[in-house]
Amino acid sequence: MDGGRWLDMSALPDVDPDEAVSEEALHRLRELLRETAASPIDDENWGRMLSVALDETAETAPDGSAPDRAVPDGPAGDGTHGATAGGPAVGDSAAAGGDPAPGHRAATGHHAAAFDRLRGEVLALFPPLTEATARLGGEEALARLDTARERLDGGRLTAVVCGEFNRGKSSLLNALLEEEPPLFPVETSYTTNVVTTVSYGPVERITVTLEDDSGEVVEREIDRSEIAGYVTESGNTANARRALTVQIRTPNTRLTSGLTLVDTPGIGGVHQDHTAATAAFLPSADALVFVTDVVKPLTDSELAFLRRAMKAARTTDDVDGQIFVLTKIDAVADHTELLRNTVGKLAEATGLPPDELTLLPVSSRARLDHLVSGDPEDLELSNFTALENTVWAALSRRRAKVLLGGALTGLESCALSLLRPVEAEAAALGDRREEELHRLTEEFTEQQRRLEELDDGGSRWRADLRAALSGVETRLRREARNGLAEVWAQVGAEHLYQEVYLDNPDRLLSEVTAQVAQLLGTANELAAREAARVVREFSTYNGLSLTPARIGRLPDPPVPALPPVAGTQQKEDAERRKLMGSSVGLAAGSSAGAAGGATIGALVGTLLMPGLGTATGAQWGAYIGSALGGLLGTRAGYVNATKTLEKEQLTGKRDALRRALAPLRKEQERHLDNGTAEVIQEWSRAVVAELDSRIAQERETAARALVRLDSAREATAREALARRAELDGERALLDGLRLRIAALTEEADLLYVPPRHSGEPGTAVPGGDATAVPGENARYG
Amino acid sequence: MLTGRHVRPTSGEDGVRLTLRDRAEAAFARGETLLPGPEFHRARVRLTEIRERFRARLRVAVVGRVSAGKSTLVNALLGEERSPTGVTELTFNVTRLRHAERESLTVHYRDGRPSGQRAPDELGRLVAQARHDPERLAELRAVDWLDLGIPNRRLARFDLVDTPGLDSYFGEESARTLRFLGRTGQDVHTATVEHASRADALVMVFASGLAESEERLLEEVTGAGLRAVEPMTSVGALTKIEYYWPACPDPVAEGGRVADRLMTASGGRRILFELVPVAGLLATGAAACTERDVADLVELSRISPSLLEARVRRGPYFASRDYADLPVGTERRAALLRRFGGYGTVLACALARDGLTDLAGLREELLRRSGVVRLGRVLTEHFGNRADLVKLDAAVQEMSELPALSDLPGQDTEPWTRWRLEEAADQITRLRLTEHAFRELALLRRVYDGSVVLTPQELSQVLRVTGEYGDSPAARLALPADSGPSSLVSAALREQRHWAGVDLDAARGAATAEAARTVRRSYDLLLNRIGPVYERPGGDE
Repeated sequence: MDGGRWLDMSALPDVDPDEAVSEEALHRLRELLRETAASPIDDENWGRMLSVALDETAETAPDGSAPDRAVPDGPAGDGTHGATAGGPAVGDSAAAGGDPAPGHRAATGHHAAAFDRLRGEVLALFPPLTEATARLGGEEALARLDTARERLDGGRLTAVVCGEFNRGKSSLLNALLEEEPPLFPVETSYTTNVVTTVSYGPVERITVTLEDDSGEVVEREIDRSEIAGYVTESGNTANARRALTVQIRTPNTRLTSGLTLVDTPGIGGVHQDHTAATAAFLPSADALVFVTDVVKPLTDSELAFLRRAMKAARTTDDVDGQIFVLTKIDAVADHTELLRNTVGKLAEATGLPPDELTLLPVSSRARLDHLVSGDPEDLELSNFTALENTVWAALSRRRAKVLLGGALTGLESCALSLLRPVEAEAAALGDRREEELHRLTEEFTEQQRRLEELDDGGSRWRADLRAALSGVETRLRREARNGLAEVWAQVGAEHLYQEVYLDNPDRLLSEVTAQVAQLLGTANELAAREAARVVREFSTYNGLSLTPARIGRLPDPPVPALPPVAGTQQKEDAERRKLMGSSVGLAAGSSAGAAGGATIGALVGTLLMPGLGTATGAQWGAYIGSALGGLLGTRAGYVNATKTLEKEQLTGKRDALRRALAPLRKEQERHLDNGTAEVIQEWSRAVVAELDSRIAQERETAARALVRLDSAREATAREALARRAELDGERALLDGLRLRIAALTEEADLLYVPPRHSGEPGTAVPGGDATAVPGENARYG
Repeated sequence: MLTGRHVRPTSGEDGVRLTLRDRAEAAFARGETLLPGPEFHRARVRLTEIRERFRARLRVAVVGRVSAGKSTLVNALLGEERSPTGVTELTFNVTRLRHAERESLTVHYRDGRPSGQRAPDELGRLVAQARHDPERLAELRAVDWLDLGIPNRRLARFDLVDTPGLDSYFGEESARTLRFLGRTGQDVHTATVEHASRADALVMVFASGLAESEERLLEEVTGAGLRAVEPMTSVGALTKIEYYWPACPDPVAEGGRVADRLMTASGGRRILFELVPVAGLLATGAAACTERDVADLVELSRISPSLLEARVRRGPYFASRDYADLPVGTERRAALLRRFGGYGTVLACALARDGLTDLAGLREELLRRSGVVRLGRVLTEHFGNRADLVKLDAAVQEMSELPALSDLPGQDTEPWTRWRLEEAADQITRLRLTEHAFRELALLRRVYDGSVVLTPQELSQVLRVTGEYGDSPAARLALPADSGPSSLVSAALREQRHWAGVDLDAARGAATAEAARTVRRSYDLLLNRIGPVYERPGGDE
């Protein structure tokens, strides 16, 4: 390794010179470089990593563009489908980026490619660091490093596909997955009636979760040909088989980076449990792909769904994650008019200005045709390049950063924990040996004392933490209650004046239930984020210096979920079920295939579970699920109460319904409060565990530093010289790793830049770049 | 067991055969005579209303969700473009289309203004949504309903009522629009339900599927007090099947399969007599097809079918891009695609390739394939042939509520008054017991709701003998129109023997046995009608 190489590397982080952050990063890296001794480093990993770093960074910006460019295609003003401004260009640069796969592979979106690559590179940093930790570090550091790796490796990016039946959701999923023959059954008349998830697995494994005759939740393995028998209306009419979810794991290369696609039953449907479960899950999803088509304009129930989804998106600040798609554009000569109509309605329903709203006209058919024909015109018509970019932009907006950020934080914290003792020892062996020895020993002893204090069960921070978390709970509960008040205000002011609801109180109940379920899901998602914030703040406040307060501009890394505590958990579940009691029977009677209160937990659980890396784990699913089960049970009780209203006059009906529903709000409030409290309680346990683990890691580090200082004290001058050379090697290795971590953090930061809405066409593309869009988007001012 | 002795006279004194309608008219007249004097004024008015409804032509309302293709279907059934259609939700007002010698358009207003005549070509202006034009909206919202008379022979047997959707964009939230409109989405919905409930029969339109939302539609329709949703008075149309193409090479056949499944697996049989798949765009395209279109189709049919399909599959490009291998220019291609849709274009070219290159022939074939001819036939047979019975059935129900007029608050009714009202109502409601046609109706209802199980052949026999395919004895016996009395008689007796066997077959259960007796009685009446010419072979019964 010569100086020339090093000099070359100074150009490394130069991803985007216009970004102020790059300057910072450059500075940081130069600092690191200055500190690094010019001694030879023969470590194999090191060399490999450097070469990777050089090549990869060169690849990131083949044309000086950020990697997050999404260029959705749109119709040209003359009614023809406009030339795909982004399509071939993106495809080309992906190919130039070294993707050796031929044909349609080149179409893979920039974002997917960028995330895939980054993820691979971050994962590649784990083995050398694990090896170094095993050599230099302690147990806790090793365990934490392992957790961080697992969470990235198993992390999921969830995109939920929603839309009314027959709008082409399943075709869209097949086209996104490039599955030919299709994975998702596509039928001309029937629709998906069970929540289906698809994610990566080395071998295909399909599991259906269903309720057996005795009401127990069981899992069954099926093969591909059997899917239709569970998820379609023709194969499983009115869900007679009582399927809750179908989980597909398949070795599809589009899914390797952790992408999980969720197919939902048609919205506003009669499968109320699934509607409620979807509503509860939506706030935790990373992207919502809303599908409509050119065959029919948007309907009331679709708009009602969107209004509801939008409410949650605003609360969790995920408006950018909402993607609107107009499918089947291949079927008509010109979709301009319908596109305009749909954009207008979407704007009204979502409250977004029409010029900030992107509706992507796509053709799944053309995409699938392209797989066979390879004709670029098919790809162009499909507009899938833009769709994939948009989906990935939405995923990159938060979760991709959370995933990468979590892993990078873990790496950085581990590298620091190794570096500290090494640096200490090196300093102690330096020119001003006695002075440094004394200072460092004192410093680490003091630190150890402080950490011991923190570790103590009676330490003040624990009380503070409890106070902070109870503050979070209060806030979330207030948020949920406000939401509930809003729901009921709407019932009183609008729903009760609509004949549709007066004639079908059952439908009003399911609408209200879905809204409350969504409040519950929102509370859960917010709790997860608050937990992450609390951990960061407490780490900073208590001087847990190994974990950088914030790495780059990436979001707070999520708090790891704790493994469920089997015994007590089961008991609580049993109690909860008892609490819900008779409602289960009522629910089962209310609609064919309705899952009872106890089983709904399994449904939400599988939805929330799909990976270790998601902020929410399985048991949170169970908590939400049980609260949701309670909600659904409550609903069922009212179905019968409202049935008697049928013959009454309009005003009479309204008053009767108002009276009948009056106690429901109280009960919902109770379920929401309990749900929020339980979720917070679980997060509190996780937060405490995480902070304890961080303290343990710091203690390890301090202890190791003191041991090293002791040995430095003993060393002779000659030994010291030799030892310093050794230490330089170790430092170089760790610094090199940190260099890579810093560079990758930089890139992760740049994965997605929030759109800057200037009101001009072409600036509102999610993840887009104003200069990159030639104004051919589906938006109208 | 009924025998010939109990047959009510079906002929007048002069020997002229009396029809159901004649007997019903007589019953109405008797009822009216029972209600003299001012105290029965309200009842008389009501009775007259009910009688007028009975006398009026059968009214068939086309209902379904927004953009299910109702107006396209109406146009397809008419064979001419009358209802405005478009890709976005369009129909705002209810239009009745009826047969008239001369074209006329009458506007009925909701604000009590007297109705007025308008030029028929103004229909589009008065029906179509105009979200961006406040003036026109003000005009639209003042309209209650529109009455369009057109000289169209397809309306000979019944009137068609085109309605806005049952699920409207003007839904819950768009309060601004609503205030602006001064007419809520609820109103549009209500107008549809009202007109549908005033209809004698329904065509329920389902856009290429019957799933959750359609279940809800049914819920809505049944919940909204439409009495007509049952197989006797409801026929379904499965529309937009042309969108099955190109996923299915033959979307009409696929439409048939889907319709079958919906009727059997999804319980469509409980509410629909039949569900006919209709490619509406193909039908309207065929009706509007010009010589110019045919010429272009013939040109396009000269290129290879696979190339043509590949090009048409990319709809927007087919309509806008220059391709050296396509012999027709973009503008004309776009016109063809708009008129016939992708499937229609490919199908028409295939037909042209097979030599069908004359306008009339192509038009006829496309119409046949679209399914609209079949739907028209079902409507004529099922509604047209039974129109009197269907309307009388409605009249019977409405008359049975006549005595309730005396229960109005503030009206101190004498028991005698009440009795007279009951007597008058009875004149009509009694027909339900005395007219065999009602027994047949009841039988058909039991077949549709599944309480009587018949073989498909038996069902078709029952439909036939009860007049589904025509009123004449020959039509009721599936014989040529010119069949002589003796062949009619032997056919009737043959059928009757089968049903006697069914009656005696203990394994088929009591309900079926009773059904069989009803059918035997139908043949009895038919034999009666064929006349005294027949000689009944002895020992047959």
